Amino acid sequence: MFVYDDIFDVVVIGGGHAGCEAALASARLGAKTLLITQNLDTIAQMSCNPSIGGIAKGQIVREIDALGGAMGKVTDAAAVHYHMLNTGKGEAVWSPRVQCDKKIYQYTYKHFLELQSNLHIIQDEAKNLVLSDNAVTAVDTLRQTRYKTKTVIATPGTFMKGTVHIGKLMLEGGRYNDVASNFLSASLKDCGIKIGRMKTGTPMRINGRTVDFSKFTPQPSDNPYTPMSVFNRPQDREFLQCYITRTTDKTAEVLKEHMLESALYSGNIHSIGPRYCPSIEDKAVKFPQNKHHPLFLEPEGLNTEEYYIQGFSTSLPEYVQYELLKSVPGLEKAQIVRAGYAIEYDYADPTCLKASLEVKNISGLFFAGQINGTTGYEEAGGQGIMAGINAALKVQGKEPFVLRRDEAYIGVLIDDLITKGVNEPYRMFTSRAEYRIILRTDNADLRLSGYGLKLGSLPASYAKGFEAYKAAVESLIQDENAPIEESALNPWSLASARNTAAVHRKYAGYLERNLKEAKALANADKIVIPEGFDVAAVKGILIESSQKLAKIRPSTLGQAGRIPGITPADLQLIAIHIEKYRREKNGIKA
Amino acid sequence: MDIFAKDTIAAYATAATRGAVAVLRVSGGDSLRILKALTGRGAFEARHAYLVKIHDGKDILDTAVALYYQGPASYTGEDSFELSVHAGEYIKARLLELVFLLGARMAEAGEFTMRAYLNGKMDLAQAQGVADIIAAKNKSAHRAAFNILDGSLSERFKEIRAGLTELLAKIEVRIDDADDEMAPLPEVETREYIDGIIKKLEALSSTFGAGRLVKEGIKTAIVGVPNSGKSSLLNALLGFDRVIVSPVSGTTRDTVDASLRIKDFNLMLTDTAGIRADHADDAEAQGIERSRKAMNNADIIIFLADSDLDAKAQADILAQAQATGKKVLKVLNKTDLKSEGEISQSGEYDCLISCKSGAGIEALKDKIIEAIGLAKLGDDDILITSAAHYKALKDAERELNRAKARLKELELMAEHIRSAVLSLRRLIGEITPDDVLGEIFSKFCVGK
Repeated sequence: MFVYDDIFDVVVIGGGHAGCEAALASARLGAKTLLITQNLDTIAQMSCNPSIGGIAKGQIVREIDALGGAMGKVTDAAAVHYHMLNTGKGEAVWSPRVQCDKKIYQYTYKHFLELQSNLHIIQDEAKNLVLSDNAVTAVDTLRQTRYKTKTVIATPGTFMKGTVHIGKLMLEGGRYNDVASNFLSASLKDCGIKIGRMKTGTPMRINGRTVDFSKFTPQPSDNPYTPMSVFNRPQDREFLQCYITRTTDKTAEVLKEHMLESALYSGNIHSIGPRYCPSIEDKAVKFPQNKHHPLFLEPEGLNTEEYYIQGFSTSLPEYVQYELLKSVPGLEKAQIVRAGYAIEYDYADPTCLKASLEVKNISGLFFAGQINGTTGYEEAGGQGIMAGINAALKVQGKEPFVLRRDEAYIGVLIDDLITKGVNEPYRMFTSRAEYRIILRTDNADLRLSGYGLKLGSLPASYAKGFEAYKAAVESLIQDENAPIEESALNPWSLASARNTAAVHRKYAGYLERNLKEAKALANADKIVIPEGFDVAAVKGILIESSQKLAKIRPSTLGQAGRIPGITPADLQLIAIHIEKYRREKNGIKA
Repeated sequence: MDIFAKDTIAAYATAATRGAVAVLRVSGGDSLRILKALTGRGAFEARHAYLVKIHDGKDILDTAVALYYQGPASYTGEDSFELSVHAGEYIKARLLELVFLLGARMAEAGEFTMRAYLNGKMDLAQAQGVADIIAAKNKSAHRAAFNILDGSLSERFKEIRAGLTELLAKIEVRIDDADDEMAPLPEVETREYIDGIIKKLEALSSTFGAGRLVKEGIKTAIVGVPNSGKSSLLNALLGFDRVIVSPVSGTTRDTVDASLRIKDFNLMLTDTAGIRADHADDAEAQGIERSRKAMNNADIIIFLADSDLDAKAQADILAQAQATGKKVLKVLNKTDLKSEGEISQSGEYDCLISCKSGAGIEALKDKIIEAIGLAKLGDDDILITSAAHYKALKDAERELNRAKARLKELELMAEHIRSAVLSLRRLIGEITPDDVLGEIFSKFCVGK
């Protein structure tokens, strides 16, 4: 075995949406970082749809952006179609969604990684973790290299024991035709981590030359448009169109006839898929009265005729996929270039994690992305940047960086994962956020950029502009005509200050209510459950509560309170006993 | 998470059983503001007793003794105050309501002591007793919550819970409808739907009066001129000689409490000293004052008449009783001594009785239950007996009414409905985001 002649601070396993943000973040915080990816040419690959953002997801991208992450900037570099969703509804639920050129997206991310100081990239496959005294010390690869490290962030996506299903056909793979990672989850199991299995799917891609677009309703891009990153300004660019159509009665007949040939309904797949991204066969089974499901044709890029058919995710055999296409006007002659498929993969039960995304029992091991049971590029990126920051902070001996539920969707996401666990691939929805009026796209920077500057994940040169921007928003909330000098706000813009001040004025009463509730939450989260304090053994709490507490092992009283079924009385008793523990430790009369 | 809000909490420190004085304890940062607003008094020196009037709009609810404590020199270590008021049920319930309106919330069991302990005001040995109480309450509250989950929750609450979940799902599915596939929320239907839920909440909150009567008993004052047979009626109702009955008028100088069970209800009887204008001595005058108080405190007043006694004095007493605004039952006594003709002319009475023969006593009992509005309660009816539950229902009604005004602003409408759900969580259980998503995925074909 070749032992690499250096000790890294952080080794990131996997170069997907979580891994890229994790590696960039830890390196930006000054940690000596190594990114191990099986294939440099599939870095930041958009394995499924060619778009970034969407309702609640767009908010997460803005949060990553506000913390200094790359996702928003890469999206703008690769954008071919912008759409601000929900503009017919209130600003709290506006969400940007951007169609991207998949290839530009990938190589832009790759270039960002290459330009990042402190970051090394190597094409190899992580095979197993080396532990010593319940702490990670190294990662061994398939090529038999050992990388010594202080921390590891595992972001394997759908690659751990990935199995691709097309009808009866079953193939190993993390994506179709990409090698699965067949060793890592066994290594994690050896570390005592509970491994489960999940499923997701993707539709077929077709050649646009074989499509009759006259049968569809075009969806043009917003123009003018709002960039995904607040640090970018709109510019002249080439746009592509998306198209919308619907399935027909004939589609329903095809599905009915071939249902048992689907991997989902033939018994080949047992694991749970995301209810929000159902396959077309799921829709037919669960809603037989709905025959005309919407389909969206989305371009895969500028230099390709490939189209993605949003809404047609399927694990039916290839010949049935052709039958499905024939049932839709305009797609009768469509040529499949990539078949739709379902994929099963290993994930780790996220209740094994602390709020920092570090595994509770193993010092220095962090998880981010689909390994935690989530779905979506944005959810992965959000966890990635947090894991990257926290791994770097750990190496530097600093306190972890945790976002509360009233501070960010990322906070909601991680808290839900570690407190409630998952029973299907977890997707973000705005309804998961109890402080939705606070957590908007227009104020992600106001909520988080202060942290980014303090952590060093945002360039220090932004600090002056940010202070001026905050002050400008405050003035504009008081008086919409307040005089503001735009140049002082750079890289922030006066237009966004005006916009966010107007939104703030509109929601004033509701914001106040949200903030008042959030204060109780913050208070409860300030009460830390000390390491060494057995929260499950507190006298008087319910037996059911004790079992849940033993499993989740919350780190704060707030987290304990968010475990389903924990009662207010349980919390009072825990609070009393934490105080007793504290007094005893400090030699105060109990 | 309320218990960490460090907001201002309130509860009676005295037990719910009867006593002359009830002590309301309030603790938290808003204490002084609330005390000032309640009493209209501009300043309070800590640890000084003040005789204050409690204002309820233009009226005075009660005269009380107020003690203000400035944190950390208080039981909880926070700013707090205690108000000693007369222990009438109406006064107690209304005072709590006023304090809630001023921004306090109901304290959880043991919450004052928990704050005291966490603020370093007591040691664990002292706190342990309370910890035991919390643990005991924990079990019973958990059983209630369990009922919600295992389906034994009352149909009424289940309906409300299902209605709110469905409503939230209808809103959230539209908020998540990125490509505007769905028709907008139909306004008229949605308004009617919300009204339906509000009606259900109102049906419950309107039982609070009755619920309180069931829990705490129906306060019944018996009034009439001296010698009309008030004490005899008390004895007839009770079935044994509780009060000395003598033909010398004016024997009963104190109001007498006795309790009696009629069907499922407790009657708290107060026999008042005979009220007459030309009272003989001071002791009797005091008795008369107490009678007036008893009438004011009562839920129902039985006016006992005897056609042989002073008509003018009886008319005065009846007028006095009716002036309280309480339910008054007019009862003619001594029918055993009356002729058929006299009785046939007594249509103005609700009930004709003879305490001596016992005639009409059972009918009177039924009349009392009927008059108080409890007769129409069915066996499966839920009665709201706790002030905290009543407040939760009222808060939820208010939030749902606000939601109706925001039908076009889905995210704001959802805020109000979520507030309503939060208020009701002790009654109907929590409705989690996963509950709402579950409803969405089962009812709507969404997602791509």
